[in-house]
Amino acid sequence: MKKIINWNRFIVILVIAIIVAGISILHVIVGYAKTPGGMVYLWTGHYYLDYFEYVQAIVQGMRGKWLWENYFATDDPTRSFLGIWQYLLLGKIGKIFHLDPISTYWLEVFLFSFIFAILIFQIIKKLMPDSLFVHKLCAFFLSLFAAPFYQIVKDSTQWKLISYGFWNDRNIFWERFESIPYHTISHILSLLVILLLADSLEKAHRLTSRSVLFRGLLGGFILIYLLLFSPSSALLLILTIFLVTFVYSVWSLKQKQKKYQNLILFAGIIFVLVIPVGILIRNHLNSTASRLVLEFESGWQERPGFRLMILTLGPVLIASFFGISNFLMRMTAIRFIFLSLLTISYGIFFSPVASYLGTTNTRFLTPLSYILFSTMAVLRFKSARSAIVVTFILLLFFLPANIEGFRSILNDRNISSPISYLPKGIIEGFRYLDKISEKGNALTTPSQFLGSVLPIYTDRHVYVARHNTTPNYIEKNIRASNFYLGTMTKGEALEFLSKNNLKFVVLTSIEGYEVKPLYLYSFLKEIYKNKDIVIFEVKKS
Amino acid sequence: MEKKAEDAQASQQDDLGLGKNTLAILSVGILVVFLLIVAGIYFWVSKKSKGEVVFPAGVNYTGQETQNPTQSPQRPQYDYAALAATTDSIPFTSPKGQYTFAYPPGMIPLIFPGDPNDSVTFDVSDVPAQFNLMVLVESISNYDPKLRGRQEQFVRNYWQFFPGLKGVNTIETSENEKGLTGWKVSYITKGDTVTSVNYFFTIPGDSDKILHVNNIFPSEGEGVFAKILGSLEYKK
Repeated sequence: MKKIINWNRFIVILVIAIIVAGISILHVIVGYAKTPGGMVYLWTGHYYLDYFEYVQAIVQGMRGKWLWENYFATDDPTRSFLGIWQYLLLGKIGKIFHLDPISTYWLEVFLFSFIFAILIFQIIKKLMPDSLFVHKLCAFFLSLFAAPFYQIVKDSTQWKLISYGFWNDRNIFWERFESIPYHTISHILSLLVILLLADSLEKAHRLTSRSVLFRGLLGGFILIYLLLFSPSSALLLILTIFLVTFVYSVWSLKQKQKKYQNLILFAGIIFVLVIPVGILIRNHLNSTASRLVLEFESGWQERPGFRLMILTLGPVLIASFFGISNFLMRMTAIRFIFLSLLTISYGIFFSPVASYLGTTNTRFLTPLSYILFSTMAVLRFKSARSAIVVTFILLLFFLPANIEGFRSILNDRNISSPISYLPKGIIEGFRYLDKISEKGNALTTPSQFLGSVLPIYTDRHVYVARHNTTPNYIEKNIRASNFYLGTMTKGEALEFLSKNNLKFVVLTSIEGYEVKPLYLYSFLKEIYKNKDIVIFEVKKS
Repeated sequence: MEKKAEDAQASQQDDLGLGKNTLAILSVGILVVFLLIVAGIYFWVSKKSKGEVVFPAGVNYTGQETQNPTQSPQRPQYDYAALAATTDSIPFTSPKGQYTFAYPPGMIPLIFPGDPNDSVTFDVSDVPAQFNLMVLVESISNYDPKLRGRQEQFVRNYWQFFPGLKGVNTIETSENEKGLTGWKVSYITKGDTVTSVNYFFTIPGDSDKILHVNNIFPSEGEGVFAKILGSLEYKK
């Protein structure tokens, strides 16, 4: 049967995806609008210290690098996490289009959010093959904008809306469409694996061995890619593949159907590829600086009670109960995959497995579960009108929580950080440093974490940036402070600079250090100054 | 068979009761409206924010450009008397949600994202804020694992972990208005001066963590500190 593209519906979904992508970056548009005169907005739409790392990796890609290098220390260029390398690729793509690093980052957030939204609808189409377009549209809206239950309380001065939830619970729009490109990439890849698995299961009885091999290899490589930066997503999918292919294989064996052979081959190729890589990655993470992150995260486990869990997942979960019977009445491959994924996701979340694996259990809460809840909820209604009415009511209910979620992001001090806006003069100074041909590292004060920003504008390592990326952070913090406070002797200061190949000393107007001590160091020569920054070069003799 | 599929698709096109291209036109119209709304938000916010200049750590600057780049950025100037007198307050919850307190409107709490001690402070002295923390959650075992569960001994020995201190000056038990119990202590520095008052509150059910509160305020801010201390609670 020839497939006919319904362009009208295609445009509807396209428009919704564009709007969703636009909403996902709305907070930085508002941030940009707030830019005070004489300042530059750094578009920190995510936790600012992580964000600067990602943007700096984009910069490295634009500068032609293929392997990530830690610019936030002078003595540990290899300190890294595996998933950062893909930002180099994003940087290379940005360079092709002559974009600057920050524009590259946000256009990619927009693009990946757009793709994610489109894929969500594709999945809904497969989950609801017999439903009208309007039903699919309703499920689409619910999966995009689902929000938790909330309470409205009055404190001493004003009414406040407090949503139920816990850290990293994914229960509002901005936690599902995050401003982090590789998080969205992980959701996109997860959906692609699900589509591949569903298609393979449906066609298993007529696939050739070559086709199974190709599908297994494709799935395996996608999962290996996922393991590098989102091992929790990869693990959820691997376990889902195992469970689903096991059940289907047993069922087809009982039915004396040959397709179980293809299923076992498909799953076997994936496991043979992925499991050794997974073990290697786990060992690698345990042997690097990521171990500290693992130790920290493994102690951070959320254990919400049953009531809080229901309230956190929100009305869409309650609504989904009413559609379960219709959902189960026609069990397709993709429906079974989603049920398995959900079971495994919440099974791991409520178990101690995450702690053993060295991560927080919240990483196993997948935003994809809302696709399932929304689908089930809409399947309750045969009539389009009922589906539209209930969806509209639910969306209205979700609206206050989503608005409150947006306000929280705008007021989040991790996002609207102390250095989200920098005086223009500081950026001009950083750019000046990039024009100097002489190689050498730059010293910044530990105050305000400007060491995390400088390497975005100049190809130089800094002495101290942030805890995660600068080894011996506290010690370096104190040593840098002592240098700027002028408490080192001339000999100590020179040795400090020389040992760390620090050729440039930078001080800005926002860091709270006096510049006078720097002028007392005879070996420092002022090479650039404006009202917001002064830069010294360490004299050669 | 292909015609049947076409008919089926054609009939399904009308399940929203709309004409052939109405859906597409409506969608594009909605997109245009969305873009206009975003543009409107942008212009409204930029107009509303005009004239505000915010420097790091929340210091509000009046807009005068500094002529001398060697000047330090302005610290917030608090009217402590007014702040102590006001009955209004703003609730604060620590970044990791471990404790809460209330502070007077107009003050700007400073937090340190990623800080394992979940600390907070205010910029109220000459000492840079990151070295002058007001509240932090300390792990006793980080200092000496043998002192875990022996909070009072930890408090008495706290000076030993800092080379600038040489002993305890005064120590007495303390309880705040929210029922936190612990000790109020000051230490002697190697220069024979006395530190500001430190409060250490035990955390029910946790033998390793201790809530450490440091009076960072100048003498004229004592009233404000007392209000903050009195409202401090540990969140379960």
